[in-house]
Amino acid sequence: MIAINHVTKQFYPCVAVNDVSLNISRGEVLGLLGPNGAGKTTLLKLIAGFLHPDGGRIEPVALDMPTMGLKPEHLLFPVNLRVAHYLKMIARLSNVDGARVDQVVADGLKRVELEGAAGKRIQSCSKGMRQRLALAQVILGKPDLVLIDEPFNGLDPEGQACVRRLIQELHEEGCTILLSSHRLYEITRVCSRLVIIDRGKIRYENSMAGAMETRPWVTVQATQDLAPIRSQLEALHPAIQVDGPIITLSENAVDVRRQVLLVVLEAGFDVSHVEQKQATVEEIYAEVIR
Amino acid sequence: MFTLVGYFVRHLFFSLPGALYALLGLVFWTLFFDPRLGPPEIGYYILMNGTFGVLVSFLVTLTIAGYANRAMHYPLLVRLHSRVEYLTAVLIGALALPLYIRSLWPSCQRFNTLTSNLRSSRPFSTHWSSGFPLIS
Repeated sequence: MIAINHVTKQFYPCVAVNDVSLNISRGEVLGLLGPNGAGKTTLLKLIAGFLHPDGGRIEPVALDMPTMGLKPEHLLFPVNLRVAHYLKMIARLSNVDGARVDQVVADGLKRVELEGAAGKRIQSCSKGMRQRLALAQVILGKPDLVLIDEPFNGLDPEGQACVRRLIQELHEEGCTILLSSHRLYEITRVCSRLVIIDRGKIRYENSMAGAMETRPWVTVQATQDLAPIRSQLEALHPAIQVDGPIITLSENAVDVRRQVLLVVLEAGFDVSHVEQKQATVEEIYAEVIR
Repeated sequence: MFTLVGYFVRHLFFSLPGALYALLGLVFWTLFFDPRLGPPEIGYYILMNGTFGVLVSFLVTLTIAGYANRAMHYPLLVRLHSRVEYLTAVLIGALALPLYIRSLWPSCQRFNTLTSNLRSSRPFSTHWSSGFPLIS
């Protein structure tokens, strides 16, 4: 949908986005992770066209630039307007047919569970309500590309579940979403692709399924300390670690799990627990940022 | 685009700067077009109207442009196919308020004529400086 080619943006003296290349495909939910000051918001602003890149290009893959909806990180609104009035204005700007504006606004409010607040002035809305309102405006008119910055901030668990559900529904409807967040757990649950950005550069890029399958590891727990057979076990594969009664098989050592179990059982030890685990986004993130 | 024009004009109309500009227009008319002096000369009328119109248009344009440039309008801006639409809306909005202020002047003229008549009429005193017209 959008191709980002060698884009650089500098705010002297620091380089906020440094030679970033990324393709956003139609229908995917791209999770953009990174520490504070990594360049996530700058990248979103570049895509939205609020900043002009110092180098490189951001261009649509198709002929036309896709229609966009933006949910900025900061919840700033014309606070003297009423919720429904604000959404109607956004709907009209999104070229929603005049006769359908009311219906579209009502649907948007329903999707973020804000039906009761339609007549309320924005200045009297809580932070959670404003967060939902920001999400309601972003989906009006079904834009091709939705840019969402920190959608889970200030939301209670119920609100977070609502946002998660909304993103999943949009994904099922074929909407392309670029989601920037610090919430690793939420990113894992809603995104189909993961990009980790740090100091303006992309440090990691993979599909979520691929990221999860990158480095599975297995733990085998015996009932007793395995020190007597430690050298025998470690000789099977260099990626085997024995710590008391627990054997950890990481990376390729997973393939020799049968031999490990045989060695343990033949040595007369009992196995109480065997578990295969996947790498979590937290682990991938920590490793990439480190 | 007209949605944006309506939004900007409505905001300015109901904001303090908008009220101040309208008040400024009334004060200006009262000071420079006193009906007691009779109809103004055409040269004077054009000069005053032109000067005031340019001044108010400039101030209103600055006010609307400053408001339109706030970060809260990012979600609106991203919806437009062209940013030129936004700029055009700002400029049209900036013209609408001076026109509105200008439209107030005839009513201001009627007000001035009325007060002038009141001052010169028999039942009322001409001592406006005392605060209220006194029945003689």
